[in-house]
Amino acid sequence: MKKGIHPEMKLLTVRCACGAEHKIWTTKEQLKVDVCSNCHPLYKGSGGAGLIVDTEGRVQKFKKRYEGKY
Amino acid sequence: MTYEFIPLKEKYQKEVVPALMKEFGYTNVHEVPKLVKVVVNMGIGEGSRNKETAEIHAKELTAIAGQKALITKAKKSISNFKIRKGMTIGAKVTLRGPRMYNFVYKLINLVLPKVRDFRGLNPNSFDGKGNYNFGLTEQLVFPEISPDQTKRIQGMDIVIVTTAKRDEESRRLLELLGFPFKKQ
Ligand SMILES: [Zn+2]
Repeated sequence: MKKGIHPEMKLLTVRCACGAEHKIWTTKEQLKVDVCSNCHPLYKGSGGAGLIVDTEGRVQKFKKRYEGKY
Repeated sequence: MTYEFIPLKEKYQKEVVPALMKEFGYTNVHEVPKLVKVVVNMGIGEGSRNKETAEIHAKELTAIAGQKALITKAKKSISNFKIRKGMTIGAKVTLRGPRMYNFVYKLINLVLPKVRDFRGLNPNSFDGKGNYNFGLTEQLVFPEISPDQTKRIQGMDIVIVTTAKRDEESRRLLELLGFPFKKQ
C-alpha cells in the first residue's frame, strides 16, 4: 500500500432518513442517505449488518436503564 | 485512516466466525472462510473511451473506495471491440484489509438499498471457487457521488474474493455478513 497517494478518510456517523445510524469511513465531510438496510423492506428479518447499529443503540438504552441498579 | 474502528470486522469475528464453525464443523479458526479482497472495475464503453472520461470515473472510484483507483489499459488489441493495445478502457481499484471491510459494510447497508427496484442479489453468481461477482448499473448508488455533479452514468463490476473453497461456504459467509441474497 503506497502512502500519500490515497484520499483522506474520516469516520462519519451517517444518519439515514429512517433514523438509523451507520458508522463508516468516508472521503466526504457529510453524506446524505435516504434509504438503508434498516428501512429497506428487502432487509427485514434478513439479519442484515444494519442490525449492528440497532444493537448498539439497544445496548446503550439498556445500559442507561439499568445504570446503578446492580 | 486510522483503525480504531473498522465497520463489519467485529461482526465477522464475533458472530460470523462462530456461526460458520458451528455450521460447517471447522475445528480451527484459521479454516473459517474470510474476505480476501474486493475488486471494483469500471469498464468504460466504446464511444466514450478516452483519457478524460477514464480520469473522471477513476476519481469517482477513488472517492467511493477511499483508495486511489488506477486507469486500466488494454493489454492487447481486440479488433472486434475496436480496442487497440494501450488504449484506456476503464478504472479499477483493489481493496484489502480495513478499507475492504469498510467498503463491504457500505455496500450492504447503504449502497444496495439504494439500487432501483432492488430485489436482492443473485445467490448463484459464484465462480465455483468461492468468489462472488455482481454488477451495479450506476455509480449514483454510492453516497459519495452527488447526482448534480455527475455528467455520465457509469456502472461497475464488483468481485468479492474469499478464502472459501466451495461456493456454498462463501455464500453463507456473505449472507452472515449481511449480503441480501434473493431467496432461492
Ligand atoms: Zn434507513
